Amino acid sequence: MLRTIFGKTLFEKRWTILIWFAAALISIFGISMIFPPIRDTMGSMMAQVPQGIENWFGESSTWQTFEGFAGMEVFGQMAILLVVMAIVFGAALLAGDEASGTLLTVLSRPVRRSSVFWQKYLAFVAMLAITAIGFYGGAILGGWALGEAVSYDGFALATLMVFLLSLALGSLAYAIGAITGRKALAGLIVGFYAFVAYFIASLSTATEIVDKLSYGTLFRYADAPAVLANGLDGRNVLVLSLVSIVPLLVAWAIFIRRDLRTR
Amino acid sequence: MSVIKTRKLSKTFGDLRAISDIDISIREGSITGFLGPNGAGKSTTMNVLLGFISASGGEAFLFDEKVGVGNVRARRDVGFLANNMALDGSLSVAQELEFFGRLNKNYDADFVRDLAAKLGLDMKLKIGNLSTGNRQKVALIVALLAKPKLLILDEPTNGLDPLVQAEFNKIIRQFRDDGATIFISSHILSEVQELCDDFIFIKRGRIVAQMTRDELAAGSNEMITIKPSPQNRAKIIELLRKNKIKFEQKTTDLESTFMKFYEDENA
Repeated sequence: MLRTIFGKTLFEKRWTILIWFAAALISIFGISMIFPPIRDTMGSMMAQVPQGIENWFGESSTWQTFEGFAGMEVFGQMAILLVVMAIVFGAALLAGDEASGTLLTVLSRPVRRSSVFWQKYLAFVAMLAITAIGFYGGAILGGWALGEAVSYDGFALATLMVFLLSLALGSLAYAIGAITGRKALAGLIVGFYAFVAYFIASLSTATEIVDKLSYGTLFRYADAPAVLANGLDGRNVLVLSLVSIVPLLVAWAIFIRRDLRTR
Repeated sequence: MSVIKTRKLSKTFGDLRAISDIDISIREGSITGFLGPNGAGKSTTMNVLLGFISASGGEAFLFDEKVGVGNVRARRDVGFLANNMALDGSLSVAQELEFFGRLNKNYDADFVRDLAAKLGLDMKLKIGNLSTGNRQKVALIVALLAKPKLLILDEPTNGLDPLVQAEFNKIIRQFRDDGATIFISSHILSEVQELCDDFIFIKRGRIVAQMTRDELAAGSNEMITIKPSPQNRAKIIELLRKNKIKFEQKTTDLESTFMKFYEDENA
């Protein structure tokens, strides 16, 4: 485990990873447990509300199945949990090491900056993937506990989109951290964007302008209810993947050349 | 052969010229003291040599290999230790040393264990629970574990007690005796004078003097130290006065008293 920077990063963060995994599993399982009362109230309520409000909250039929509920609540609203984790770790993994000085200690050994950059990033992806598994597991366990029909493939694809969304935002935070060496700045910029984007995406059905604005939010491309209903949309996968990769490559090119923060 | 060589090395941070036209040459097998007040440019020079920051002008070589931010080859045989070097507090001493050891091709676990034993470090303790001195011992082992041919030390004993300082200096001397070259900056002038063969003085980013120990001695007044017993102390003073020989009376300094009390504890 301690043979590589990748292994050491995971080893160091093992308890944090475990806590996030458990938090994702338990909270998603807990949210799943509210499905029966939600089904009863939302089903009858949605049948009486105007069309605009129904668009906002989802059609009444959506709330009648566990899969529909999972698309709206679990993979829709609760995606923010994984997003927060991704931004926190993306911002801190490399820039945090630079701020604390441990990066200089590593680079005082014959280690390439590229190697540190990519190994730390891979560790970040692994941490996110483990938490996403907890997310998926919580939804499956919730379905089992309620005796509802569970779409394993559909949930896996919805989890994949939530993972890609979180990866894109986490990668942005990682990239800003690598360019500036400042984790707080990276977290603040991406966190602010995610906060605004989340609201715009949530309100996208309210008006046409907000709907147009929502194309600028990454949340639009991780549309879980649509994934559960229609399967993966390759274009959305491409957008989220490109947002992960392009800033990362730019950050890598800058990080291997720039002056590091020395204390 | 020059282990470190710089030609007109410069570094600016915005409008601030941190170092200007630095020309230094460090000979193989020497211990060279790099001296100057805070902000003189010592750390900046070392950071450029280590590739942490890039030079704004001029060039630097380690073992004839040009130094650059991306050039790992230049610092292949270099160990670095700075004051308060950051380590991961969540790992044990053994885990931290294993990790840093495995970043090097020629990792010798026995050598690391011996060094830790020599420094009296408990390998099972967590880094986060160590005192400043013990953390710095771990950082020293990190710097030494690949048996580097060049050690760059940036105020390595700053803030450490005299016992740990003495231990550090013993190990540094041992490394020099084994053929390594040492480039050290320190504010503790007595330590530098005792340890170093060569001296480089830097002021406001410029080298103002570079000299050997012999050259330093030749330029200073010779001083003889006499340590009289209480019985003949008065006689010696009288004799010196009678012969009109200038002398200075000095009581035992605090450092030597401290060392007398505690050095056995460390043996």
